[in-house]
Order: sequence, then C-alpha cells, then structure tokens
Amino acid sequence: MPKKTPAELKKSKPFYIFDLIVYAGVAAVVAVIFLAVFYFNGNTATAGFNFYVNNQLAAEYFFESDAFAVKSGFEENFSLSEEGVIYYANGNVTQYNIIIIDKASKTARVREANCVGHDCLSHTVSEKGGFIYCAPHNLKITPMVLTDPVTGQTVKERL
Amino acid sequence: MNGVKKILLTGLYSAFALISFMLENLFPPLFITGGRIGIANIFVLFAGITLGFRYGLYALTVKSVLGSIFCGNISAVLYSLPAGVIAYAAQTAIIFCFRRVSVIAASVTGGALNAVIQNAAFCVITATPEYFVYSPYLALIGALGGLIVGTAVYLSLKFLPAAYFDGSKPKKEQSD
Repeated sequence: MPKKTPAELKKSKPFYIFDLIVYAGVAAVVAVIFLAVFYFNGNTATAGFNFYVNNQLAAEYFFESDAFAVKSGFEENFSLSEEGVIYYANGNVTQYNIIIIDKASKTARVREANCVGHDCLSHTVSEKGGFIYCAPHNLKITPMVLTDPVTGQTVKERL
Repeated sequence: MNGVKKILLTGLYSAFALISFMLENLFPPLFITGGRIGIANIFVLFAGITLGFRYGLYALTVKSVLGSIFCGNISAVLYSLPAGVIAYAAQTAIIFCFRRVSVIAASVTGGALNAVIQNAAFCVITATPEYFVYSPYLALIGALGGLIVGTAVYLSLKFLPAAYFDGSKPKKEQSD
C-alpha cells in the first residue's frame, strides 16, 4: 500500500468514513478496561485503614476502637496531634502529610502536604473504597479489608 | 527540505513542546489525577508529520526528559517516555500507512493509548495496582486530548503553504 506523503496530508479531509472504525476500536478498548476494572474491584467490608510506607504496612486505624496503631520500626514516621495524624516521610519533619480521619463518616483524607504535585490532596479513602497515594513521600492509604482474602482470617481474630 | 533546516525546526518544535508541557503542568489535572490534554503533543505530532518520524521522536524525547526534570519529577520519565513513544509510533503508523484514516482519528488513538500505557506503567513501577481503577477515565480524557491535538495539527497542516513540504521557496505574489 503506497504511503501517504506530508503534501498529501495537507489535502486530506478532517473525517473519513473509516475513522468510525478507529473510534469504535478506541471505544471498545475503553469499555473492556471499564469492565475489567469493575469486575476485579469487588466491594469488600472494611474494618479501618492501612497506612503503607514504601509498600510496607506501617500503621493501622480501626473503626471499632478508634485506635491508631503504628507498627514497629515506623514510630518516627507518625505523630498524633489535634490536627490529625501527621506523617513524616523518612522520619524527616520537613516532609509531611497531615491526614484527617473522620470517625463519623469513616473517611480519611490528606488535608495538607508539602509534596511536589499535591496529588494526594485530591483523593479520599472511605470504608467503601478508594485510596490515597503520595508518590514523593512514599505514603499509601487503603481500606483495611475485614477478611483476609488469603487466610480467611478476620481482623478481629488477628487482633 | 535539507537536513540542516530539519534539525533547526526540530529544535524549535522541541522548545515549543517543552514550554507547552511545563505551562500545562502549572494547571491542576483535568477531572482526575494524571488527566491532561497534552498540548505539547501538537508540536511532536506536527514535527513527525512534516519533518519525518525520527524528528518527531527527538522532539518527544526532549519534551519527556527535560520536562520531567524541570518540573521536579524525574521519575516520571520512566513511564511517560515509553508510553509516549508507543503512542507516537502508533499515531504515525496510522497516519502514513492508512490513506482513508484522518489525522484526527490517529491522534485520538494515540491519546487514548498514551494514557492507558502510562497509567499501567505507573502502576507497575510504583507497585500501586489501585491506580489502575483510573485507566478507563484516563483513556477517555486521553482520547479527548487526542481530538484537540489532532484538530490543531490538521488545521496547521491546512494553513501551511505547500512550498513548506516540497522544499521550494514560496512564490511571491505579483502586484500589478
């Protein structure tokens, strides 16, 4: 098939009938991704929130007891105050995220952070789902599933 | 068009792409995190169409690498550059190999492809599979961005004088 030249492109039309095939293909791919995401992202009951630092579980918050538990080795990364939970990246007080946990609505959000981009400020995590990810500070907050999908053990049994 | 002129124009388009990228980065994302129109891709695609595949690739590389460095997020190169290269290759392949497909349709494909691949690469590199939930929305925003970019490139090609493509000097209008 002879290739199109730039000079021919100048004379080309903004729309051809075969464009519909291209648009239909793009729409089909988007639809497949939608279905895949919602099929694999099933709703599970949650017991609180997990806080990950560098993809390691660093702290947990439990709805029932309103308790915030920091794992061993991450004590320098978290501090509780009246403002909320303050996370310090790499234990450095100059790199922080202030996380507000609302017990009534069972949600958590980052109220303030001095990271580059501030993407974490626009997300909220709740018992229904969602997540917060701060890439510059290596912080991730996700819902804590009630039942471990691997062991079948509930959060209450683990405590 | 000789090689020297192509190199000069590539530098010019690269600069425009870089400036557009940095300006767009000053604004908040569109609807969701990572949602961008991709105005810089106008210059990348335009360079690829008018100068040649590899010149557009040069402009894309400059935009991705230097843009990430200047915006303070060097690690973004890891997922933005591969996604950009694959999307750009797909776009130019559609434009030059299929005579009955428009530049705009090719750009829409490239935009959606870039968004999905970039998000997938981000999920793998940062080990955050949760972010894949945004893929379909980012694909739609990418397709919308591709529509805008493709329309801008198409209109630019239309208004460009024909002498630009064959390398000859434009004829001066003769006054009576």
